[in-house]
Amino acid sequence: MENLEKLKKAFSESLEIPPEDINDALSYGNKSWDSVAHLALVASVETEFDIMLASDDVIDMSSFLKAKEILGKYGISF
Amino acid sequence: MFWDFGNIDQNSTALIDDSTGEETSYGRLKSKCDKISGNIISDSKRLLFSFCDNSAQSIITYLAALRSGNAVFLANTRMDSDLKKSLIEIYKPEIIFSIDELPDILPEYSRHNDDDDFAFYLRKENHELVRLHPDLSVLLSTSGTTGSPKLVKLSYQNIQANAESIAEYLNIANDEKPITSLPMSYSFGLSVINSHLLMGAKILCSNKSMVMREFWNTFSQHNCTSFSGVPYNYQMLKRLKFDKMNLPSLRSMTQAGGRLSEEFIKYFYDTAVSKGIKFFVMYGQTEATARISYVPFERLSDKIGSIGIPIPNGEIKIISDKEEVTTPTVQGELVYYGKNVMMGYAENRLDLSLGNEMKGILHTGDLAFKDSEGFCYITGRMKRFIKLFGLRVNLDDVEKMLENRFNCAAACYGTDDSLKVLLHSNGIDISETAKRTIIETYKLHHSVISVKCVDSIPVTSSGKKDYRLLQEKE
Repeated sequence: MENLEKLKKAFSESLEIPPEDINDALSYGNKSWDSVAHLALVASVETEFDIMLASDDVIDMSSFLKAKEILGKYGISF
Repeated sequence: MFWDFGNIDQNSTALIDDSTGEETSYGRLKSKCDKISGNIISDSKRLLFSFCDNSAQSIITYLAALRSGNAVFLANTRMDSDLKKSLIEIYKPEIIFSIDELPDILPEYSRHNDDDDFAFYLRKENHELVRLHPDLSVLLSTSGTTGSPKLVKLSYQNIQANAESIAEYLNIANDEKPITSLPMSYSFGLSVINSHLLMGAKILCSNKSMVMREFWNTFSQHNCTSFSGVPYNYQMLKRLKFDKMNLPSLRSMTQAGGRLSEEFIKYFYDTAVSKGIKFFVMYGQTEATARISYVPFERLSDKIGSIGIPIPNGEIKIISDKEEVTTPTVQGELVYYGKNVMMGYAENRLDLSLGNEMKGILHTGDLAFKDSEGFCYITGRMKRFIKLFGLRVNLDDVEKMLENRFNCAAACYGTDDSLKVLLHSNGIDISETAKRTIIETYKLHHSVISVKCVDSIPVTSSGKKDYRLLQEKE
């Protein structure tokens, strides 16, 4: 699966948003993305890409766009 | 009373709003409240609804309600708009304040603006409304942003007494500066505000979330001294490697709202010791305004798993078969006695006219025992509810709702971090639809709910659903 699709899947499953509604502008506080969902999202991204996010990256992952930037640091490109 | 701001230096800062940067001194706070009071005071006591967040404006509205002698229901502004509407229908508040614009759904109300351009809504017809009991000060929901119209009625004495007890055992002084990490519409969040205003401390009013960097930036920039959280906040903090976070101004942190596992308590205890700060494990209920007991930090290391000792001026008895249990380690119901025990519940406007029905005694529904030093340990619950994210979910309610909706037998059980549901749906798999219904009705995150369709639900020899067996199978 392409990395973009994988990331959309992680967002879609943890935030319960259809993949077609996920775009760069989607940010924390939108729709169902609250503090509880954030923990689920972090776990889901980690599982999908088999990585362990650093604490700084967990609290910086405030939008879909930002998530792509952060994953870049882990060698995952979009 | 803490809303008089009596012996407090009027020039010292009370509120700092993190989104506007505005600082409000105690003197200025008084005059802001009294300006709002001018708009809402009348010859009889009135009911206010405040759909609030954690902005300074929301706190000012709350204090204005207290100072003007009106009663106020604090409800989260994020509450679903249908639920807002239904609560308004049931309780018929004379005045509604809302931090977010209310959609145009209120034909019985007219919209007004105060001098600061803050909108409020007045009920057009008031003469048929039931009068409120003079002691009534604050109404709170026990279920957060979800379902039930059942509210807890608190008196002026309740909120003052609990604020005094909390300020005493946490040793709050006027140099403290907590950040509002929990909603003020939640009893725990409100207790932080009340106890700090009582002591003339500064409050950093923030709507930011502990999972986002901005929260911690704000915390550090303003040199905040404490935060509060429910178990899931602490689970998240451990995930963020709280022990490695650099927060030089932090002096203490408090935890309540459900059981934090011993592993987590140990982690936060060790971290607190190494950072030279304090960590308070506490217990309470909205029915007791907020706080019932706490573990003194210096005893935490040998009392891990305990909910501690009663707060100052409160008393805890373990009652079994209507008799107090005085032998250590023998289990019974935890019954709390204190001036912070609510007046009673309300389910409609008429209930707001009633006086104190509890007489200072609260049967918590929790099963507990005391050790030889009087520290209490919760062992289970008499009523069937679990706490998800600090909010109470009544398992029998969920069960009833599902049985009515899907016309099949349901069994709900679980722990403080998961809700499990079995449906006996005659071979049709409705688990996804049922799960969706639970999520929508109770506003829960899907990750904590599991729904299974089964061929039969186990029953006990007396024919009742066998929850113990279900729980043990997990």
